[in-house]
Amino acid sequence: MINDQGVEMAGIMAYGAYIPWLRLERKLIAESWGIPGAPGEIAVANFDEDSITMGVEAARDCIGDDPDGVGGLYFASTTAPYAAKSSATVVAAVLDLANDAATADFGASLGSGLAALLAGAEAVDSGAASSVLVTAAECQRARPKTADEQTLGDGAGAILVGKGDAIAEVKGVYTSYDEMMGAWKLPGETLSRESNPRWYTAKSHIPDIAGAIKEAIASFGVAPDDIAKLVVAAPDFRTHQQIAKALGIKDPAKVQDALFAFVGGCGAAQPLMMLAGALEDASPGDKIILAGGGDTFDVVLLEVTDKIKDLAPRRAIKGYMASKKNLDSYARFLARKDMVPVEADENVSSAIQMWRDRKSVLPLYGKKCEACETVYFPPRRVCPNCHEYDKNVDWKLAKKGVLWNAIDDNLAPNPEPPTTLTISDLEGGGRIFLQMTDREAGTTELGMPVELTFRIIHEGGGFHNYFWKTRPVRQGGIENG
Amino acid sequence: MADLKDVAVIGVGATKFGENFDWGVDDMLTMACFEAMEDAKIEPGQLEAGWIGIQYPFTGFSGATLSDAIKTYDIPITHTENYCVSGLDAFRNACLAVASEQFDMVIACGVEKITDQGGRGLPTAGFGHPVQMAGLTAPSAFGLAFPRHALAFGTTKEHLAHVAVKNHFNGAVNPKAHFRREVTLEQVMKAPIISGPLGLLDCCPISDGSAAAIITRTDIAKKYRDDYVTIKGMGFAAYTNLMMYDKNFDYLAWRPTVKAAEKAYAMAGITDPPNEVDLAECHDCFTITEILNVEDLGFCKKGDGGPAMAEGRFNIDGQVAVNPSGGLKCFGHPIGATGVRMIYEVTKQLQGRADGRQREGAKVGMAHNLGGLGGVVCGVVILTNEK
Repeated sequence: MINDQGVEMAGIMAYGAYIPWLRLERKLIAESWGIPGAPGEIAVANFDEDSITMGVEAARDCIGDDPDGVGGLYFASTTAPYAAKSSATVVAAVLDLANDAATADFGASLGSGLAALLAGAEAVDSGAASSVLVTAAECQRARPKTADEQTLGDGAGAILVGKGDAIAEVKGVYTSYDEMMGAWKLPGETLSRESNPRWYTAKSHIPDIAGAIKEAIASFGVAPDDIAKLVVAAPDFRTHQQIAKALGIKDPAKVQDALFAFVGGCGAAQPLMMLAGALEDASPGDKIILAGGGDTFDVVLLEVTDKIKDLAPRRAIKGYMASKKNLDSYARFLARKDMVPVEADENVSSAIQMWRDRKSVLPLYGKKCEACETVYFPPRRVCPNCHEYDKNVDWKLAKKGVLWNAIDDNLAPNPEPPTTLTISDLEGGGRIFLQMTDREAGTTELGMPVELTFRIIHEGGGFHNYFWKTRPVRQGGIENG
Repeated sequence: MADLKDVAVIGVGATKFGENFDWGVDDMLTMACFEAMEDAKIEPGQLEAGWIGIQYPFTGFSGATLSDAIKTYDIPITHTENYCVSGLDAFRNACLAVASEQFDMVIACGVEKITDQGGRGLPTAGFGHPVQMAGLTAPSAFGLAFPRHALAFGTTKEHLAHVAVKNHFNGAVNPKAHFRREVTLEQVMKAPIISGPLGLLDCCPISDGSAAAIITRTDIAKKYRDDYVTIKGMGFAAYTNLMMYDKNFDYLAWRPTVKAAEKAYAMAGITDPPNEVDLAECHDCFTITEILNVEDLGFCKKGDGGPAMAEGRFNIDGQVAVNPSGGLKCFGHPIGATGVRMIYEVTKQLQGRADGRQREGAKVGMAHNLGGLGGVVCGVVILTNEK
């Protein structure tokens, strides 16, 4: 969009989302404790996932595996894997963004996802970045038996903002804030404290968001009836409906699904995931109000363009929602939430070695021999095929291939054995040994297609050691990568 | 000028293999080395050099592990580390030194003390790279051969089980074996799964132990005993730690076994292995490993290892007696000691001193030792009692 000073402004170029494969039916929580249970399911990150790995997934869903031209990476989460150290730089490095990309981490508040999106748009508007991939992810824990335990889910969203052929133009932005003790964590705490949710919903979320939207709509010069979709992130099953009611929007088709029924509330990632969901169904000309928050209450008016028809297919919300496995017990859920102590595993690592090998570990570069054209991994100076010395180029491996060999191993320490070990032939070359995740043990078949997913391998050295794993292609959507 | 064929083994010793909770590294090394020296009828002061195979740093560092035990101060002692072939590589280097005539009387030994580390498999953390090979274990590294071998040749889990039944049958009568019992096909088939097709009874145990051999040249050997054995063939080969990334590797054969055997057979002049080799101590860390090895050593056609095993062709009275000692599977596998323990067994067999498990009329015997996560490195030593 060109503004009234004749300057082109940021728009939304693409969207992506990620929902973990595993889900827990809420009734299993209720039956385990003998407490009331809500219907539906929550999405559960596997043992090897955190907000960084889920942010990578959503980002790859958004831009694929070619980061050409992406000028920045913002990451928002209230559950970042590091209390001090950027997560955005990990995601940027995995995506292979150029090292002059702008990176920044947002957190501390459920409003941080939307704040990151606005900051990304401003960076593009100002010319500070050509484009910014805004990612938000949450991997949340709640106290057993609380309402939060049945409400919170794990997931990630990603929105690319840039200039040019936007699929949705940013028509207006409105910001506000309110100060009250709703939910919080003290330093070092992983479980939320909260005051009275009935109080802060009634006195903050509903009036603050509804009020902000009313002010915003007035300032944007649009009528409430012109809004095709109201995308309001709110912290529980009902609040976004009550906000719609307060705004006089009665048609449920105009209120974007907040994902509580089958995913759960994904905190700072919720507005980005819901926006991805809205854009999946949007038509050219649709006006979308995106709002949400907690502490900060921001509102964005978007207008969908013709370009949305040209956007390549992606999994986003519908694709990842459809591909799932339900956990068969509440205990398996608790184990994945680190609520069950497990035997400590003795892993070794080296920050220096992981730095030296960052290009092979993170964006997964191998080598291509210039003499015999063999693609191989891990990168080495001498070609394993023709044995030429130092005649090779860096070669980024494809993130999909075909399973060539596999074994289920019960010996390697694993909170839920077996460990599935795989050897795969990747598209475009390269044979690689990787663990497999998000699969039913014993169902691997040689020759089956696999895709690669970025995961935690272990915590050796006192930091998160990430690398790639294979998984069966997530059904219900297009091929990823 | 002497060569490898002039090298003779004149004494061997070994501890009982097993969970030797009462013995430390020093105890076991001392017992094995002194048994070998007594067998050779030599004194420690006659040793001019030593080689000791150790795989794990928690067992010991450097050649001084040996001089600390038997107090052979002031002679050169070298520590060899080459995965499960560490012991046989100690033996190889000792043989080369004697063949070169640099030394006349040397010792090769090996030791491993694993059970002090707890009870879950072999430690693999720290092999290679922090994340690239994470999750790979010894049974999965070898077990990965099964899906490909089964696809190519129809090999079954029951074929594998025959390896365990045979080796336990042989080892049950061996007083120094880790296990002293036979197992049935049904027991092997129904054992808890460790990795892929490999159940508990498809896997060699975690053992402590030590073995030693005294090595000299044939002209000197005659002064000590008439029934010394000599080197007939020797071949070693290393491949790669990264076979699982190598598109040229098909998991149908252990490449280092094939290459080491080619060299050893060429030196020995052996062209028809099943009819020229009477017995083989063959690396059977896991049952699938032995299936590939008997093919790679030419004891049967490629792909026939499973059916040949089931037919009994490698029983103690079969065409080639494979693992008359009980092998790693039943005798045990203290990593650095195993290669020298194979020399111990082949020597005893060729001397007719393998009580209760003797391969009748044995003239040519093989020690075949494979190591690494998968077949990374291999040594083949062929000994004979023919003068």
